[in-house]
Amino acid sequence: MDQEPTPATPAVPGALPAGNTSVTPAAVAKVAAAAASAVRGVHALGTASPRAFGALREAVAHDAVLGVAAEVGTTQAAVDIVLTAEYGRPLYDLADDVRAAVHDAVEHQTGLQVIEVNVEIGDVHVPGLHDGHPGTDRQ
Amino acid sequence: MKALPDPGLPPRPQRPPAPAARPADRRAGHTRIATEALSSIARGVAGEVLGIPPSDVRVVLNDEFGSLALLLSVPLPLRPLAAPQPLAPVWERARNARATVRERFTALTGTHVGRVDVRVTGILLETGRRPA
Repeated sequence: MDQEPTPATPAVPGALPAGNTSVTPAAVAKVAAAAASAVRGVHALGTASPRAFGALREAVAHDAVLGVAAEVGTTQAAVDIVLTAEYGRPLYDLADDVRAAVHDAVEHQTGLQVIEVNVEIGDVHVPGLHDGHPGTDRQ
Repeated sequence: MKALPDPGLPPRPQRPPAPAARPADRRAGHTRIATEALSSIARGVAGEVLGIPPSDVRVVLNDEFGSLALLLSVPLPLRPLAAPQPLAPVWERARNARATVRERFTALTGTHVGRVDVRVTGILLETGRRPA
């Protein structure tokens, strides 16, 4: 990890003992993933087709949570989410709800200030459509 | 359901309510809707409106002077002529579907739809008992 060394803590008597607390991107991503999956209308995180978030996966080659990428600084965090929506809800409402839920969850659980939460609706799960390849399935 | 506008020449679609409609919980970040998502929605909506399985709907998305053009290729259900409740003519159903599809699609995706073309590519025969 590219954590910078512990900054010199002000030597205030009675302050916390020296030490560094950091939250890793993986932790933030997991918190974000849990919050996003709980939103009504989210079918799954990530998309069925892997190429859609290839760029995203590249950005966090290791410790990736499917469909979620987090960037974490010392006091701030930013989260990118790709998800598959459930058919039936207006997508922008859904995205706003996901953004709000992730924002609150990450701020609350990690204490980091969330700068932005980018939401990409990568696909939509339509009942009766998702199985098989489009164009080949016929019932 | 209000009366459908004349599908002959679609009126300029009204913009969906701006995302800023909920100012209280505006938080920073972009929302992006992938093409995959748009075509899945289009197939779902068309299936719903025309009463066919969404997997039978083919959709092509195109640019129409900055707004979206949907080309739907669909088979339509048909009942035997002697059925007690015959369906409306194929032509009529295809025509009428265009405005409804656009309305529903815009409601779900917030995307400007400038054009909906429906191409009827086949018939799904509702096989009932043939009158003897």
